[in-house]
Amino acid sequence: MLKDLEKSVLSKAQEKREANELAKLCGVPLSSVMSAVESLREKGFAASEVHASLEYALTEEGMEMLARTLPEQRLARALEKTQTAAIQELKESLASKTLVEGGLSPEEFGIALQWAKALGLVEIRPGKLVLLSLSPTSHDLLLEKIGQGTSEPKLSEAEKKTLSELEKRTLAKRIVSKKVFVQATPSGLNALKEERGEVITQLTPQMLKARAWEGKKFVPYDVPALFSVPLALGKKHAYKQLLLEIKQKLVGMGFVEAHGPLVEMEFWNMDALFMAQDHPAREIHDVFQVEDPARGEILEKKLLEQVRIAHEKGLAGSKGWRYRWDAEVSARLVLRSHTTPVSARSLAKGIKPPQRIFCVGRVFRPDEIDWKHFIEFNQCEGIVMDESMSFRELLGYLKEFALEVFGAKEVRFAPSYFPFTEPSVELMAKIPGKGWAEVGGAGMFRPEMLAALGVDVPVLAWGLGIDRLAMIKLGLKDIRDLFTQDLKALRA
Amino acid sequence: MVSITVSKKSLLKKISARVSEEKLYDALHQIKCPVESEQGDEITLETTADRPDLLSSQGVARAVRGFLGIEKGLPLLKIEKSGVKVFVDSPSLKKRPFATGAVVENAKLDENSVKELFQLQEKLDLTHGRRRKRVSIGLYDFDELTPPFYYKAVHPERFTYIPLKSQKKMSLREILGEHPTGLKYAYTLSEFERDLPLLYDSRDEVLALIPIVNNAASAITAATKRIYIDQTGTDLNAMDASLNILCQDFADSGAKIKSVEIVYPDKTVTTPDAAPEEMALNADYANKTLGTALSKKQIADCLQKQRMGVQQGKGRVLNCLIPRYRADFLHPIDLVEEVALGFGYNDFEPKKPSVFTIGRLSGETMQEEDLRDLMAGAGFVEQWTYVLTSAAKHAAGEAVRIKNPVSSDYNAIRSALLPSLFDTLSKNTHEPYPQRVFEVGEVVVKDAKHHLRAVSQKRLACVSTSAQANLSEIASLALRAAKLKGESVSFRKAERAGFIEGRCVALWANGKEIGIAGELHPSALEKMQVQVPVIAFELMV
Repeated sequence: MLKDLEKSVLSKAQEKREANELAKLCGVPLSSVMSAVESLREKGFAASEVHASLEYALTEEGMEMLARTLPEQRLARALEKTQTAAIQELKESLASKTLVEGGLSPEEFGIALQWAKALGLVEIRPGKLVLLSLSPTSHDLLLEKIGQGTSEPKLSEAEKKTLSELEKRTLAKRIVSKKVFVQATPSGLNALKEERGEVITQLTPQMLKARAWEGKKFVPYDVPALFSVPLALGKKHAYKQLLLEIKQKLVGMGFVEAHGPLVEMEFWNMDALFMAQDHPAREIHDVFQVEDPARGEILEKKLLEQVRIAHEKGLAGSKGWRYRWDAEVSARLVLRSHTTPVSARSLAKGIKPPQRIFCVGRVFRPDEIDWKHFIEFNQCEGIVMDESMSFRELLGYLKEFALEVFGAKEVRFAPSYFPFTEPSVELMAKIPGKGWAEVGGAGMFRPEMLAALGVDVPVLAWGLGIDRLAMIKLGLKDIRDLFTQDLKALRA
Repeated sequence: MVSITVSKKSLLKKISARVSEEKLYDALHQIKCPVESEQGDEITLETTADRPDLLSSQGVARAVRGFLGIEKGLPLLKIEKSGVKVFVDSPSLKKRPFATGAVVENAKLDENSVKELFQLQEKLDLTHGRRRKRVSIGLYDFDELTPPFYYKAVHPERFTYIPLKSQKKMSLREILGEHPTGLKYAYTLSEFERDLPLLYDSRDEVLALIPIVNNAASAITAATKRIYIDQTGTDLNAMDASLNILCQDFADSGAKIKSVEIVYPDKTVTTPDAAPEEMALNADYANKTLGTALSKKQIADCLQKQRMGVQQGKGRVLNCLIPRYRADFLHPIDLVEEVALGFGYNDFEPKKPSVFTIGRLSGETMQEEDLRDLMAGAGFVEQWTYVLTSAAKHAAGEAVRIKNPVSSDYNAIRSALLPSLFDTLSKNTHEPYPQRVFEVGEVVVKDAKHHLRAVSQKRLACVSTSAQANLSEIASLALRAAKLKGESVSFRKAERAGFIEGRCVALWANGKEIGIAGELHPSALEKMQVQVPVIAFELMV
């Protein structure tokens, strides 16, 4: 059923009309018309389009000047009889006159003089003024034209220049106005007919009960339109679905999921991973530092001491980095630059082998922003902790991931360097249609790191960058599209 | 990663003419310096941060020769005495106390090798030397100098010289204040109060303002025959490695290396010290770590390919000799990686995963999936946006701010999800209505009681926008979402900025506010430039 206003709008919009015009025709405020249009649109009874256009209007001062004549013109008229006059005398005489008599206040006189000269109404000779013209100037003409309220004046180049002068004089302003044009759709027109009882679009239980359909004509379906109604379904995010799929594969392989904080202390992001406080990798890592709040508090005092020893003198048969470790540096807050602190936190909890743990999460690194880099991305991290772990088994895991998770056909390994793993390795995978791609780094956690965390069995660790993989799988050309706010793309 | 550019022809010549290009590229891939790009004869190699000895074609050639078995074991480095002395005025140099040096004779330089030498110096200063703060290197034409040399902090006006890249004589103060290199590296001297560290010779000729810029008078050219290498810095271990890198490179090219005596007030030290470092490796440890069953001989062979010296020790132990240009050995595990490198990463047979554990999604993820099902089922479209945001989009002081943002659009971490959703509505006013969007994502809120002071939280938020939008439409949904946690939820009237008075509700559970739901005020909609009513909720989950 249509509301009265909706019927009224629909019948007036059988041909395309502007919303303000509809409001006038229906005799209601624009806002009421807009809400009726919105409701008609949702039912598919009306279509609307928005046109943005540039318009011009007079400011309050402009309107006042239109009524009173511009000051330069008043100045010219004051010279009409005498053709010439001494400037100072003229100023005083005009100041004493009233508005009706064509007077000019001393402030206005300056403006009047400037523009009268600029627009060629007068000429200044030493101490006096000479009248040149009394015709309306470009300013007068345009002021009047805009004042008449022509809705979309097509201005000539010269007039545009004059307009910007009028703007400077705060007499006129440009306004961007949006106009909404509305037109009834075929089904809207049918709905109108149905309201009048002429045809049936929607058969209702009431009609069936009262046999009201007898002798009436059914409106045939508009077949193409039937299939063009947009679906307003809910939809889960494609990348999140892909991540869920990856998580499920890891669970299928026997891994348990872990999480950790986004804002992290350098202690967990670096120091607990045996990264020396002046190590180049700490610079390479280039992290985002948190300004407010700036520092956290390391609660695990015993662990803190072990980490200090690992750095300063070494643990587990290591020489250590041999410098003075600073707990203050360690307490600084950063945005985690990798998911390894999540693994470190898990290991520090005193878990017993065997363990297989994974984490998928956001990490942050200052970088250039372009189609394949962003300063925030997702990482997939995993560790395997067991007495029997070896480098060969690490390669075995990497191969399984490449084949199972990335759908790769072939893998290759390259030596690599991470401050917290030794040996370190990089996984390259041949992905169908894409060729060789670096898909992640891995290694065995260093003995110093493990000893400080209280772990006495080997731990394999790997971290895979999954945003690039997702780009390939979802067919995207720009990494930023993974996080798009474009509703059309999200709905598709 | 550090990149260096070298001539392929000269690299191949240093390795051995018989190596094919394919074999070379494969070897480079296997020793941590893969080819990143090539243009004509120039190839760019990407080396890892732990291998400053691979920052020159000479160093790369040495590693490749070992890896391909052309020349294995410790490289030769014979050092004779030069008799040159460097006097260090320790009391004035507390902030940069150490100096080392060496003399190179019979240096066979040409245009290309000079270019590479400067590249090596620059890259070592930058990475290994921590932008000259930890170690900085100076290279001089020895024939222009008159030893002994003096390293001392002096009054900034006492000496003047013509620095490189300049035409006029400048005082030390002028160099720091005007010279491009002076301006660039002035920070390295921030701890020197007035007097500045200077290296000069017995005729008062300046070698360099340390660690800033050399005297143009003793600059190296392709015609230079004898070179003085000076190093100053704060870390003797690091200085030891880089001096050995330079000396080994020169020695490999056929030059003669001579030592220098560094005279401190309390002791005299001779540099460079090229005696290899000794470290024991147990063959069983190596095999267990790698998952292999290699004999001691096989392990020794792998290490020798990595230019280690190996002496068979007692029982299962191998006594390894590590060349002094390698600075990255802290623990026998570092030798194990050398074994793996010498063996060849792609020659290992990957082992199928063997350990049994039961896999499990976290409770957090399970709950998130329930929420996503609920929201998608209720007709909402899911978005997943950045956690980084602009502080301006949140109430003043609410969002955790970043000290070193790369853009003002991303200078904070979001403390709520709704601003991202409102943003989406603003950006999509041309899209058909109704628009119903949700996000499950992380936010960070300040919490002075938590040990991190800023706590990460997972939230659910949604917006619904249509001509008939009304809170009754999503109130039950919010309630259902909140109850998925299994808590009893209650409502209280609330007043929040941006929401219409009397049309906003807070959700409570266990005596805490867990969320907010309401209808947006028209003035808020105007700011968003949305002309359709909006209702919204945000919940902690």
